[in-house]
Amino acid sequence: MIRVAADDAWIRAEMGGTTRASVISKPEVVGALIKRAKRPLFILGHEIGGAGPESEALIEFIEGTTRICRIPVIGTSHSVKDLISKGIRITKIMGGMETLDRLRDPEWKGLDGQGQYDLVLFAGLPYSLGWVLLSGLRHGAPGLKSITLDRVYQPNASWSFGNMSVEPWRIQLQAISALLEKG
Amino acid sequence: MYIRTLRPMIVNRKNVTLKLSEAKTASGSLRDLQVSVGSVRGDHWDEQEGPTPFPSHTDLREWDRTLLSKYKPLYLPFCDLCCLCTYGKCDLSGGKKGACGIGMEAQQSRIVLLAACIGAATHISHGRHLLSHLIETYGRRQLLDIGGSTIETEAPIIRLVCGIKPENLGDLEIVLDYCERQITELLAATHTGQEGDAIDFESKVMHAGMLDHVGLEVADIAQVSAFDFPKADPDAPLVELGLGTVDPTKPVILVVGHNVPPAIGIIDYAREQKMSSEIEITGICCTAIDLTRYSPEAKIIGPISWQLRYIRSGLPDVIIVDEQCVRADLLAEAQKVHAPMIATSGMNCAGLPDRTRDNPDAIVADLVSGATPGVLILDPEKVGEVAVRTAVEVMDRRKKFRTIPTPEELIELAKRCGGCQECMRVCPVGTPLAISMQQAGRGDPSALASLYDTCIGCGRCEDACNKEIPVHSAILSAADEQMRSERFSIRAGRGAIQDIEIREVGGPIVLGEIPGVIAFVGCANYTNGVAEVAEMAREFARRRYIVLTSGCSAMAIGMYRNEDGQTPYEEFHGRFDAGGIVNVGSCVSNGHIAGATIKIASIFAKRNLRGNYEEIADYVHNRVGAVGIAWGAMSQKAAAIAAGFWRLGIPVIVGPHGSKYRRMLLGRKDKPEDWFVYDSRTGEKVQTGPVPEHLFIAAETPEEAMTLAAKLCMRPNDTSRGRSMKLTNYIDLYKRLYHQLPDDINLFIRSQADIPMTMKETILPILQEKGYSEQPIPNPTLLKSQIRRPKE
Repeated sequence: MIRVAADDAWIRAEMGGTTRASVISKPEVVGALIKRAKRPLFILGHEIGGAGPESEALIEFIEGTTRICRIPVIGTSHSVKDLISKGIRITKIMGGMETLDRLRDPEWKGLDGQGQYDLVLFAGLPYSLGWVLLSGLRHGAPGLKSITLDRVYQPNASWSFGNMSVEPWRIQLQAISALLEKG
Repeated sequence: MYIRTLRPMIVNRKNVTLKLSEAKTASGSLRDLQVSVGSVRGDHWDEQEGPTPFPSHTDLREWDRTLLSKYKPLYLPFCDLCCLCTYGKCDLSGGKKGACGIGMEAQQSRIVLLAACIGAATHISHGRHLLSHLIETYGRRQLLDIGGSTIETEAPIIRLVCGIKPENLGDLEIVLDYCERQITELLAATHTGQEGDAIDFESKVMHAGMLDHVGLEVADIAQVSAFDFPKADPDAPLVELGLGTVDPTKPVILVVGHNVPPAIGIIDYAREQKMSSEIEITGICCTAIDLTRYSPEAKIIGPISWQLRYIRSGLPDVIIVDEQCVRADLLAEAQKVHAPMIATSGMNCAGLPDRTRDNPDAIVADLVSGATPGVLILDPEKVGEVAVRTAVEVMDRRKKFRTIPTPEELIELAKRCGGCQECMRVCPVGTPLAISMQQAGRGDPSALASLYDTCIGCGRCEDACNKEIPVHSAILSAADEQMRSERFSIRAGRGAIQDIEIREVGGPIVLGEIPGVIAFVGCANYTNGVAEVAEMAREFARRRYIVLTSGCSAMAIGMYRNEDGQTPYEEFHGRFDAGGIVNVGSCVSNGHIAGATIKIASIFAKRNLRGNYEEIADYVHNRVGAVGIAWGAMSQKAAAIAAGFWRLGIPVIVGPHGSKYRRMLLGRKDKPEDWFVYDSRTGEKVQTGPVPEHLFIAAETPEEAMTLAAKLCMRPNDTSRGRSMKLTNYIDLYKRLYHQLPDDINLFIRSQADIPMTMKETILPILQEKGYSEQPIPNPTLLKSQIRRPKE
């Protein structure tokens, strides 16, 4: 069991800025954000392709959410092959930096030519790289909301889970899926 | 007399040159006046001088802006605040400006400029110390000799930037004078109330990078010439690498850092005393590389991340530190293993008493008795004597005392772990320390041992542990057998690339028939251990790229064995040719990597180098398929080295931690309007596709880095045969690593002749679906000045 404050950045020295992510205190928050979003997007890093309970929980969540809500997925790494084998449809493979470069461009037409996104859900990026990418997004695209789905606190997101152990976090993800399923 | 100068006046202190582009006086006017006294400028060089000898940062501003219009900065702020002056702290988030008026983007570029200035100043100061020492020892007239008759272009960067052809050590002083003045100006630009434009900051970053490369070249050509290092030798000897190569029965000296004269003092003293075979002289980081260039019997322990593990192993009896990348707590670590420490550089005095003027007998006595834990000695020869004598005398006293727990002690220590995960929370690599420690506490240290390969040796975990477990030492204990059996080899740094090598491969590189030149450089801040670097280097060498390397990356490549038990340096040749893995040397030898690309323009394409930066950078950017990979880049020096490559238009890829440099330079392949060149024959604007797509990018995984590198080797000048070969490698790598085809193939095909022969059936349907733009292959340039017959 990890006994740390939910809203401490996971790596101690990684201080947040003058604003910091709201901690996802209940699944309804994420459920409502996804339902309300007009143009949501998943960005999945390579750590999601690993074995173990964390990857399983995330893949289960993403598979369900993309199926129900038809959210496009950008895979940033070679791990897409693992995701595809588990039934997740990858819309585009694009590196994290290249993706961020487009998300901060208000003129970008998106993966489908329909325009910029309004909510980005991150998972599976290495912590420090995710921290930096989210900082770039917070400053470069201030109107874009971001949620991190990993079980560690990312201060540069708009919404983040706190630092949690696997089981309570998995239960939260399952609860969000159930809410989305209900519609 | 009233004199008005329209361009900056250049006056060199020692060999005086006065240059006035235009001067008006009461009695008349002068144009292009140049007076030289004892100067090297043009003495034995009939090449016509280009437009920018000794350029100021504004002289090349237009070139920088040309690059930056294609590769726009992507900012990744590390902090919302500016706290550099007493107006602040100022919150720059959300579009707010600081009290001085600066915005977030300019502030980020300003910090990048500070980093680049620190890095460049470090190399230039390194060069200055080295050069001063060499001039004191050998005299100003000591001739430069980089490779005998194999090298005519002895200093391509200095020729290009400064417009001079240095012949002896004294000539290099002028070059450093210039660099020091320029770096001071750049640093001044970061002061509050100076530069406020992000792109102008970026231009200055590139200037700092270019100066850094000049400093690198000065340092390495000086030491190669004076110390008789391998001179552009593709068959430089293989030397031993790894902690397991050290004979623990002998007195062991460890040198750490970058500036080699004190280490050479040790070698020389041991030779004079005929003790070379009785002591072990070992090194970590770039001093180690340069040590083995001087004496192949010396041993390299490993990259900078090996400092704690080697010292705690108890093997070194005396620790010598010079400058750069030396841990700030080495004195405390040395004391724990009862090893005296000798600091040898004004850059890093370590709080120790200056004993430079003392009798060696007295210094040795104090070090051996423990009267002082260490000393500062600023005389390399005296360091040599004191280090050798102290090592011999202290060895019996300290009996290789080590601070790594025994297996029994490890289990007892590990039982203290309560699983709080604080160690994991501070670990830059995020290793599962707590769970592994608890497993060790139950008697199974295997999980802890498995962390040895990915640990970067920072020791943060130990400070975080509230149970006072020496976590890093615990990992070393668990992996003790592996650590002691590290025995590898590395080819000693060869120095420059020969002119004949450039002649032979210049054509195939420029035409694209050698698919690219990939340089693995930089520090050891890896996210997954050293093996990834070796695997990437082997992949490209097997694919017949030319692989260059230096410094800690060169060591990382050596710390690998293939299925036949060969290290990459045994598996691949050391020539600058397809399929080679070419170790040029230490950090300062990176100048030879940039120099090789410049020499392609000079030797193969016969372009003038002399003070002709823009034209040559334009040539390199558009024609030489070179890419740098700094997978573990950590330092400000690495930032400066990268910036030097950016100004030459050479893309650089960094590992995930490289994102903390807080700014990328990215192209947008989805914007066709960004990708054009002029055809220098006609002046016509020609679409080229996104080649090379980025100038600076962090990759998340080695798989991303490798596919990016293969792609970034493409250039507008590629012939169809060359483009087809580059595409083959890009597509093949992508398919193997991602299990699918890349979705941007159509952007790189200019005619059907570009399609790889074996992939036609796959690619033609893609082109039919997505379309592609049929384009001629231009004689590419981004400079209007290079257009021979402008289109009406």
